[in-house]
Amino acid sequence: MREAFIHGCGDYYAAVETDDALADLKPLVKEATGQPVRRVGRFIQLALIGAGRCLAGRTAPHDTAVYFTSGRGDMEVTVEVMESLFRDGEAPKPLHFINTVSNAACFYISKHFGLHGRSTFLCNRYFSFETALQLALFDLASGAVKHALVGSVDIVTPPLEIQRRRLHLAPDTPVAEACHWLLLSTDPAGSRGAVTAATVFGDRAAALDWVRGRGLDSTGSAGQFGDGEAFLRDAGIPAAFDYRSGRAHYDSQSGAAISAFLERGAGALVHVNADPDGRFAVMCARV
Amino acid sequence: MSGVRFLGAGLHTHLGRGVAANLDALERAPPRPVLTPVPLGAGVEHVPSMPMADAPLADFDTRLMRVAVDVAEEAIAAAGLSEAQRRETALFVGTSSLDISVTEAVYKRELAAGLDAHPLTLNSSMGNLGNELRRALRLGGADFTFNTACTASANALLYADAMVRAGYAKTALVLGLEAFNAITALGFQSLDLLARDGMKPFDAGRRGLVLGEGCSALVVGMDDSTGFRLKGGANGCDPYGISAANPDGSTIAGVMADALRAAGTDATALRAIKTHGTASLLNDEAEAAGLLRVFASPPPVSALKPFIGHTFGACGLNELILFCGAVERGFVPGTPGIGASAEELGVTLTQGPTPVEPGAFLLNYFGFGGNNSALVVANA
Amino acid sequence: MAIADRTALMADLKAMIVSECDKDIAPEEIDSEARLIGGEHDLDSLDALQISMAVKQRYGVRIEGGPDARKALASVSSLADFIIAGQNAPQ
Repeated sequence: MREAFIHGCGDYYAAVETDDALADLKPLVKEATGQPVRRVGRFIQLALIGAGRCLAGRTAPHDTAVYFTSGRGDMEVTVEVMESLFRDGEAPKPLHFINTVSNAACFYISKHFGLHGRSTFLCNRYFSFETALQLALFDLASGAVKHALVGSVDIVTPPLEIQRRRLHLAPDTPVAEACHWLLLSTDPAGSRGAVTAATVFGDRAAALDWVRGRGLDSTGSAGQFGDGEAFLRDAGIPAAFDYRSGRAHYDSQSGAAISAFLERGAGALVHVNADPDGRFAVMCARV
Repeated sequence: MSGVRFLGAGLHTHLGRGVAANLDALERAPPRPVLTPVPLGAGVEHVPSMPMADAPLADFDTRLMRVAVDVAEEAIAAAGLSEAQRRETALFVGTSSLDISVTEAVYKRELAAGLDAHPLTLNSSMGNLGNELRRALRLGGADFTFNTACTASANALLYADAMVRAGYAKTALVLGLEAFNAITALGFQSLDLLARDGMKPFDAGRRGLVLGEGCSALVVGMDDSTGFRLKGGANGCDPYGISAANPDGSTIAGVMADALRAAGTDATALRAIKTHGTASLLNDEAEAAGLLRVFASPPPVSALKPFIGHTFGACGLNELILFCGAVERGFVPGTPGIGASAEELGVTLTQGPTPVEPGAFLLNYFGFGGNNSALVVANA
Repeated sequence: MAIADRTALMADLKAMIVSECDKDIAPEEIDSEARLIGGEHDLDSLDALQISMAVKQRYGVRIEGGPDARKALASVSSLADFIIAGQNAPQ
């Protein structure tokens, strides 16, 4: 697989500690897009904030493709529509219903940043960010795409007690809202580093063979699912890069790994997640 | 010559269960939609629909998975995949409403029981359906769930084909899935997009769409047969409007031209076109304008939604399997009395089964959020 | 309906439009006689559907699609007239 060069990253992270402690995202949206954006909830707002921070005022080529993912999607609008329909007996409002399609966020990104390229919302139970990145790398390697925005958004929909029930978390588990975006390109000029791989393996042995075969002098990092640390030990890579300590729970934490690694300085990263069926998702990057 | 081919299909729509039953029904005129009662507050709304045949709208907790697994197994059997091959198969699901029909059933039951009910407490993960399907079908590869409104399963097929071609997966199972749910039914009613007397694309009498239900599955893998394959395709985002493509047809023409370029096919070489044809005022206006930009004199133009309704995220694969199956039987499907005159939008539809030779075909799909896709398939 | 009621209804409608369409303006910034959809406040056909549904839920008056909807939603003033006529019509 050819490398995908990193030209920007845009992140947002905020732990939500009480039911009424959600940050007001409107000013951040205005900062990211240069104008207020109406008819959107937190999910689309965070997508715009992440993509805007990632582009940092630059104009992306109009054929830039968008790969967008989330663990739960726009739970705010889904809950709103379901409660009003089944509890209150009211039909879905047009503007709510339209936003129940996950790619509504892709539309707003396309509109506000002038992008007309491929645009996809995709998801996966345990490897949401990894599969979005995998698809982007695939399109960049095949030549179908030259520039790609890859990102995740996870929101909190209070009350927190119910949010935890929805995510099947233990009571009092800290929860957070976050988005993580990368701007990737086939062009190395001016890049900050590169994503060198994002692949899902059917079993541990195949993943281990592949990682060992790369013979990298790498820093390892374990994601939030499965025993990534044991895997890295067996692969002979010290699990040395911890970007997760102190972070509250949200689904697409893997999305933070590469941009956090960029901050850390020069080196190579191997990031590992595992699902309960023994599949492994591996992301590699270098700075 | 060896290449990525469609190796086996499964289908369940309003027309019937199984690919053969669906193709038999395509030789007849489209059936009339039914009115499905949907409770709303103290009343009941009657929503024009084409629910799946022989799949009563009941037992919603298990209905979705039962239908999906049956259809996938039909495709796997038709492709003759062994257990070992299943372990090397990746899954590409395309759906708009995911498992919301199950989520609705659970929430309604908890509300009725007077429990402390909240939506999405059983499952809120968008990837859960794909994960459960992969497990139920004993597939060992990666799984991707595409959720891009009405282009979802067309996009799933685009990526499945490309990843098998590049060797990322030996075999791929693509699955389109859309099951009846109250949110979709009443949401489209709120948008004033439903038509009681059936879908009449490109017709002066078009009044909107009918809710369709359907599930389709397609196995794609390397093979040296002469069967249907994806020759090329394209996807783009049209920022004109969240619920409508640019009515001048420019963005739709663009994605069709990109698909033809990707397929290495000239517009004049196409044997027929399957339109998206939602029979809404705006879609058909934009699609007709796009067609007239790309084709000086279009080949036979067909619309399949009058037969099965709009199956949203599943329509990409549902309509591809219907269309390719009909062509293999030697005809392009037609809709008697629908889209018969070019006076309205400059486009006429085939008026009954129309004989066709093997060749290349264009299939259009456009979705909310400006997501536009076009596929070129070929069997020669 | 008295003139005072009609004025109150229009103020109500403006507040409703601002809230339903998520506009970042004060309700009084909407001119009662100005074109509502496609006018200076950039409201589109989706906003029109959203307003129609809110009118039905709040005032019990149904705005059918097509030319009737265009006439009813021409301005805040015409919307008020439509609601008053609808509420006074025999059930």
